[in-house]
Formats: sequence, structure tokens, C-alpha cells
Amino acid sequence: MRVFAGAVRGLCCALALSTSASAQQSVTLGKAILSESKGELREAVALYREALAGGETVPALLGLERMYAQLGWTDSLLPAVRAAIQRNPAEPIARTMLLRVLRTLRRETDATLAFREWVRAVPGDIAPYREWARLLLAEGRTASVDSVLAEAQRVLGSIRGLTLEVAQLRAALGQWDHAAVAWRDVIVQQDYLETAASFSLRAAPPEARRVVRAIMLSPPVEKSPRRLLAILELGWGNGHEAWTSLRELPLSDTTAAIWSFFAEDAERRGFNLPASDALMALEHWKSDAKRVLRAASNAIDGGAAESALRLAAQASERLGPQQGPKAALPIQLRAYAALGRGAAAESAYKRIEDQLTPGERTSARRHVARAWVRGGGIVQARAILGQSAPDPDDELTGWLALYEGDLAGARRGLRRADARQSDAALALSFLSRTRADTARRSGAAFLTLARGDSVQAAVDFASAATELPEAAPILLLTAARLHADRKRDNDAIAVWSTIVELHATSPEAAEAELEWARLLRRRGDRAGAISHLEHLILSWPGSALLPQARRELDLARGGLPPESNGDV
Amino acid sequence: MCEACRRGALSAAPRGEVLSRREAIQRGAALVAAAGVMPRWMRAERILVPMDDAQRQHLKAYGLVYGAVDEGLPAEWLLNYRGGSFLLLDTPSVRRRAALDGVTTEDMDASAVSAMRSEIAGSNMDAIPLEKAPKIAVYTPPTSPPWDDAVTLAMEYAGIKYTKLYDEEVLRGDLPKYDWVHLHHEDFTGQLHKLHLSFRDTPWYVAQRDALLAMAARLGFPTIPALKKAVASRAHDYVNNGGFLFAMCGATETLELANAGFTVDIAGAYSDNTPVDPEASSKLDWSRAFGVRGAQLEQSPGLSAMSDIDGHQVNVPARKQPLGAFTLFDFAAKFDPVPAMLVQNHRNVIPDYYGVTTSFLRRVLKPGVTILAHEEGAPWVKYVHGHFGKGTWTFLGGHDPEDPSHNIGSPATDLSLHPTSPGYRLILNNVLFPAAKKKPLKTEP
Repeated sequence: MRVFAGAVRGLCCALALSTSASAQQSVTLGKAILSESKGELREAVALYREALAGGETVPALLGLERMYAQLGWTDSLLPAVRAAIQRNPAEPIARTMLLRVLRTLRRETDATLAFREWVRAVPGDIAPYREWARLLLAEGRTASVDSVLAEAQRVLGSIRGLTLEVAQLRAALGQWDHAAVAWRDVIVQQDYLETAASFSLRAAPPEARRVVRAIMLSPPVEKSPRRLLAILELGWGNGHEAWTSLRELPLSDTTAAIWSFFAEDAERRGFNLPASDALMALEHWKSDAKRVLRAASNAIDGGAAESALRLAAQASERLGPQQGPKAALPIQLRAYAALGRGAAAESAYKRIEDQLTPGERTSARRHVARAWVRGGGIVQARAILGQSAPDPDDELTGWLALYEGDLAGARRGLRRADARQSDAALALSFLSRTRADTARRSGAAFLTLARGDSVQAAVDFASAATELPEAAPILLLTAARLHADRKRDNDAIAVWSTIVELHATSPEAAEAELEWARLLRRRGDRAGAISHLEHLILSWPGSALLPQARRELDLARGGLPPESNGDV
Repeated sequence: MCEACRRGALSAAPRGEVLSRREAIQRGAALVAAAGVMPRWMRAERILVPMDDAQRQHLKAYGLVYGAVDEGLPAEWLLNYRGGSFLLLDTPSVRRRAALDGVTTEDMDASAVSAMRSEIAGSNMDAIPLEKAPKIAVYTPPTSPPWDDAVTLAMEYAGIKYTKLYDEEVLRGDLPKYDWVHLHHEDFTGQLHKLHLSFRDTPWYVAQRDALLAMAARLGFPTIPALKKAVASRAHDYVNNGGFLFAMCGATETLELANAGFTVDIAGAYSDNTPVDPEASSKLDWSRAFGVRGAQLEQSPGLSAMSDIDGHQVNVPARKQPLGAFTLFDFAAKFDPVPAMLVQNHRNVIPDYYGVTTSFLRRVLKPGVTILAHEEGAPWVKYVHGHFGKGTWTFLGGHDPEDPSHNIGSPATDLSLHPTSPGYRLILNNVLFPAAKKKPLKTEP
């Protein structure tokens, strides 16, 4: 019994001593970290060395590596690392550190020998290959990494544990198809690596993106590859494709979180239509009228006015008669303005005018006036604006000026016009082609067009071309487009012919020839179309219309299915 | 100025006479021309048609090269060099066509060509001269539009000339007139791919069946299976006698079955009014097949599958396998130029696509078959090639590389939307490879 009690006492003493030694080491390590944070590097070195001697191998070595790097004494780390390896030859962190230090010191042969020694010390272990490959990858030595991975494959029979390195290597080598396959494997297992994958794959050139896309979209539908593809597509500027990659995910709380995050990200980056689609998809998960309103707002920001009107109406209905109409009104008015539907805008405004504050009324009236102006309703626009003084920098004022032939005023007011709208794009193109301050006939042509009389507008634009010779090609091309839209083919051909012959160096000449060729092809005159298209391609080799011209040439030659262009 | 010109100019100048640069060039050129030691095209500048990611119109590039070879211009296929690029003589006609088609080209002066050749000599690359534009025939019904078949679609888009053949021409003995023949989605067992299961009463199916019955009667065959077997046998003889055959989709599998089952009733009663021989699978003579052996026929009339050759079985819902991606193998350009030509591409991994026959199970392939592309970890391969008699055959599974799930009635593929399609490049590699000058294999005795 006495023997047993002595043994217990002895064990307790030993345990207390051991606990006390361990606590002491932790204290030393803590002091070292404190010194490091204070910038007392030399003191920190002494403390880390003390902790190393006390058995805190890994944190002490890592601390020493940091200190020596800052002091420029990296070579002093070698004896400590080697001693640690001698104590435990399989310790991966010390082994990796040795490789890192030798590479930093540019002792490449020694580093290679250290890698070989590590491989011998742990036969069948993938760690040496992985760490060596990572180190070489970081240095951009892709050919060497390729050799290391090939050796790992040969020696170990499989490199499943090296998929991350394979993925990085393939991307570094520009083998985007292999890289995409490898990254997909990686992120399916470890989804936290999606950011690394997107960083690696986002450099894929446009030609290689299709295969990356196909690999991420291939079945089965998995969350991580789809989310990665969405990140990539947004980075490549393809908002629609980004949403396409996510929308097939089966609906669940996780999917809803992904869609919600996507909507915010897309919205922030200005991909409003995909954001709107994602927000509306979330309606299948949980209904939320405010979210529908946000989708409508994104739709109008994305230029989809009809869609915005539909969504705003939905939101208004769900919010009820008290809140709905007022909440939806700003979006509705912007949409009506974009569509040039002055009467509808004014009616929507009048319905709830009494619920609006004076500030809201002023803003709403301007939108209504914009809607009238877009449709050529100058008188109605001025009436709704009433006595309020027009701002010369306002787009509204710009349109009014343009219709009255005041090009200086139009130039000032339309500076911030949304060029995604076709009428704004035409007006801005026209204004950029002339320095004249007044052009009554051109202004009248724009007004006629806004009022929807395209037949008269075509005549007016052609006639205005004589008023401003420097802008004649764009005015003539507009006239030709209007003739062609109204199926007045011979009139259109006459104008295109004038542009090609008299304004051959203008940017409109290539478009005129393209449209001419298209018309000839539609009429069945393939030879005529081919002749014009070949002339276009060979005469304007730098034209942005070349891809379209080549496609037309393919259709004219019969090299594409007829339905490719809507023909049957 | 080239070295020969420089020497010529110097030797032609009387001692002490100082020549202007222009005079030196003129005299040098005259001397070299008079000596007549170098053909004109060898002195001329070259155009490189890169086929890596620098190229914007991979498919039309094949048409450009085919047209140049057809015109008698020298051309070389640079295997494994920048995605399998081409080197052409710089002529106005080549430049014009490249410009019209939007094919990317790079000017190559003598020193650039020389540097490129030394890179090719020291790497797994080779330069193969393209000698003669092959005469191409496509086996397809005369009324069939080119958009029904990926090969004709590609050739139309690339601007490569071809002739259509069908049963009458084949049985008349026209096949040997062509260097290269393509078969696509014909069912050589004569069962119309068992489409009667789904389309028996549709007007197009009825019209197709009636046209084939009329053709069989006109050519003296009692049934469609008998007619198609006779055609398959001609294809067999064509390859045996030295032809190049390229088949895709259902033509691959049914051609093998029709030839192996030449003397066996392998067609269901719905197509020839007699039941399939119950022992048909064991009676098949695989020595007549190009690359398949030991496959089992699918004898059930209720299953839209011909045999177990295809790994994907797209028309049998319970057996249908999902699509993955297939990987092209690398071949030694200097030792295996033909397989190397067939896999030249700017992508090594290509998304898979279905067809009546999508893939070929490894276990039914003959040992000598060269696998050109496979799906990693899958029991099937996508793209195979082999010799038979004096000729060669190549099978590519699937219907349309840019329409993964093509269905009857799907709109035709618009290749102008896929000008860099790696899948279609595989097809066009096949079109062009018969143009290559034959070199004795270094592995041959």
C-alpha cells in the first residue's frame, strides 16, 4: 500500500513538473510573439531560440523564419531547421521550410538534394512532391513543376493528392482545358478554393473560355463549379452567362443564398439584367414584393423598360393600394420615358399626384416631360414642365434643343444621354459629326422621326444632308435605314449607292455596302451580294462590320444553313 | 538580301566598281535566275496560318489550305507546331481568300521560316508537305441538305469541294474514284436506326422509308437491309483496296455490324419481314469489321439501340450515360504522323456530344486499333483509327460537336457561331490528311 502511494506521489510530481515546463515554454513563445509585434526583432530571435530549445519546434521555427527574413539573416535558419529535421525526419513543416530557405538563398542544387532526401525519408508520401511543386509554381518554373508531377505520378501511381498543383500548373502553362478539369475536381472536394480557382482561370483568353464554360457546365450540376463559373463570367464581363450558370441549381436554402449573393454582386458590378433575373428567381423560394420592386429597378437600369413596367406592376399589386402605386411610380415613369410613352406617363402621374410631396412632384413631372419629348411631344413636355426653368445641362433640354435645330444646346444637354437607347445613340453620333451650332432641317428630321412618321423622316434626313455636308453620310445612312425598314428598297439602294460612291472614306460607307448586299441577298441576287461583300471586306479591312460581312458572305455563298439568318 | 544574291552581286561587279544596293540586287537576282538552281516558290515569302489561339477562324483555315493545295501551291502541315499550323506560299490568291474568310495569317520571311524549322527539327513536331487536294465523296441521300451532316456542314462552311454519293453510285462502283469517303448517320443494317419506335407515322419517316424501299427495288434488292449490306460491303472493299474512310455517328456502329453480319439476318422483322436470327451475335464474322470484335447485337425491337458497341446508348433511357469531356492523345509527329495529323488541335479536352452512336466501348475494339481520344476513367473511347487492307478507317462518335444533344428537328448548327470549334477541327483534320505526302514510317522495316 505504501509502495502504491509513493508511486502515485511520484507520478503527480512528474506531471506537475511536465505541466510547469510546458507552461514555461508557452510563456516564452508568448514573449517572443510580443517582442515581434513590438518590432524588437533581436529580442524575439533570442526568445524563439529559447522556445525551440524547449521543444516548441514548429511555431519557434516559423517565428525564426520571419525574424531572420526581416533581419537579412535567413542563412542562420539553416542549422536550426536541419537540427529539427534530424530530430524528426518526417516533420513536413521543417522539411518545407528547408526547401524554402535554400530556394531563397538561391542554393538550387542544395534545395533539389533536400527534396530528394525528403522523398527518401518518407517513401510513398505525397507531401514532398506537393510542397516542392508549390514552391516551383510560386517561382513560375512551370516546366520543373511538370517534371515533379510526372515523377509523382510514376512513383506513387496516382496524383490525386496533387490536384490543386495540377490545376495551377495547367493554368500557368495556358492549358486551359486541363486546368478547368483539374480545378473542377479540386473545388468539388474543397469549395473554399473557389477564389483560388477563379484567380487562376480568369486569365483564360477569350478563345479558351468556351471550353472552361463547357467543363464547368457539364453534368452533374454541382454547386461549386457553377458558382466558380458565375464568378468567372462576371469577371469576363458576361453577366447573362454568369446567371445562366447558376439558374439550373436545384432550389434550396443554399441555392437561394447563392442567388442572393449573385444578385448583389451583379448589381454592384452593373450587370442589372442578370441581377433582376436572379432576384425574380428567388421569388420561387420566398415571395417578397420589395424584392420584385428591386428587380424592376434593375430591369430599368439594364435598359429593359417593358420588363421593368411588368415587374413594377407586379410589385405594386402585391404591396397593396396604399403603398404600391407610390412605390412603383418612379420606375414606371423612367420606363415610360425610355419608351417615349408620354400619355401613359402623365396618366400614371396624375393618378397619385396628390400623394406626392412637392419634391417628388417636380421629379415626376420631369420624367413625364422626358416621356413626351422622347415621342416628339414638345408642346406637352413644355406644358407639364410649366414655369420651372429648364436646366441647360439636362437631357430633356438637350432633346428640345435638337428638335428645334439648336445643335449647341443639344450638344450640351445630351452629354449624359443614355447611349444604349437607339435614338440617343443616333443623336449623339450626328452631333459628333458636325461643329455647326444650328441646323433647322436636321432638327426637324429628328422631330419627325420621334413622332413616328418614318416615311417623311427618311425624306427629311436625305434633304438635311445638303444642309450639313460634314454630317451628310450619317444623315443619308439614317434615311436609307428608314427606307429599308419601310421596304422602300429602291429608295434605300439609291441612298446607299450615293454613300458608297460619294462618301467612300466615311465610316458609313461600309455599313451602306453591307446593307445593300443584305438586301440583294434577300432578293435572291447572290452574285450581286457576294460582289458587294467582297468589296467591303477587301476595301475596309479595319471595319468593325467585318464579322457581319463575312457571315453575310457565308450565307450568300450557301455555306450556312438558311435559317441561320431567319431565312427558310 | 539573301546570301546567294549577295555573292552573285559581288562576283558580277568588275573589280573596283561600287554598286548601288538596287543594282546589286538586280544583278544578283539575274544571276540566280539564270542559274535556275532554285524553284521560284522556294525563294518566295511564306504565310503561316497559325492554328493555336491566335487563329480566329480555325475551320475556314482548312478551306484556305485545301484551296491552295487544289491550286497546286506548295503547302505544309506543321504537326504539333502552334496547334497544327500550316505554311503556305504567299500569293495574292491566298491572301485574298484569307482576307475574305477572316483567316488569321502571319508573314514569314526566310529567317523566320528557318528558325521555325529548327524548332520543329528539335521537338516533337514535323512538317508534312501537302501534295494533292483529295477527291472527296460523302455518302448521303441526294435530297439531303448539307446541314444534316456535321462533315458536309464543315466542308460547306470551310469552302471545300465534295461530291455526294448514294446507294446507286456506290453500287455502280463509284467509290474508288475518290480518295476520301465519309459516311454519317446511315444505318447500314437497314433498320433506319429503329426510329420506327418513335416516328413510325411521321411524314418524313414514311417518306424516307418509302424512298429506300423504292431504291432497293430499283437496284434489285428485296429489302432495305439487303440493299444497305451491299453498300456496306462496297465500303469494306473500298478501304481494303486503299481508300480512306471516315465515319461518324450511327454509320460507325452499323457499318461494322452490317459487314460482320453480311451472311446473317441481323435486321428485325419490321424492316425485312423476317425475325433476327436468334444466334446472330455468335454468327457474326468480325474479320470483316474494321475495328470491332465480339460485340453483342441488341435484338429487342423495343429498344432503340443496335448493339453494345456504343457506351452512351442515348436512345435507351435506362442505359443512357451522361456526357463528359474527352481528351485527345499526343502522338509523336515524326514517328506516328497519321494519328498526329488526326488529333491536331488547339484544345486537348473537348466537351462530349451525343449521337446515335456516341462512343465505342474499349472492350469491343480490336487490339490493333489506335485510340485517338478517350474519356478519362470511362469504359468508352471517342475517336479511333486503324488500317484495314491497304486503306485506313477513322471513326468519330457523336453527331454534331457543337450540338451536344442533337434531336430530330433541332435547328441546324450555324458554324459562323463556332469558327474555332475544336470538335469540328477533328473532322477537318480527316478531310485534309489524305493530302499529306506519304512518308515511310520510321518504325517500319
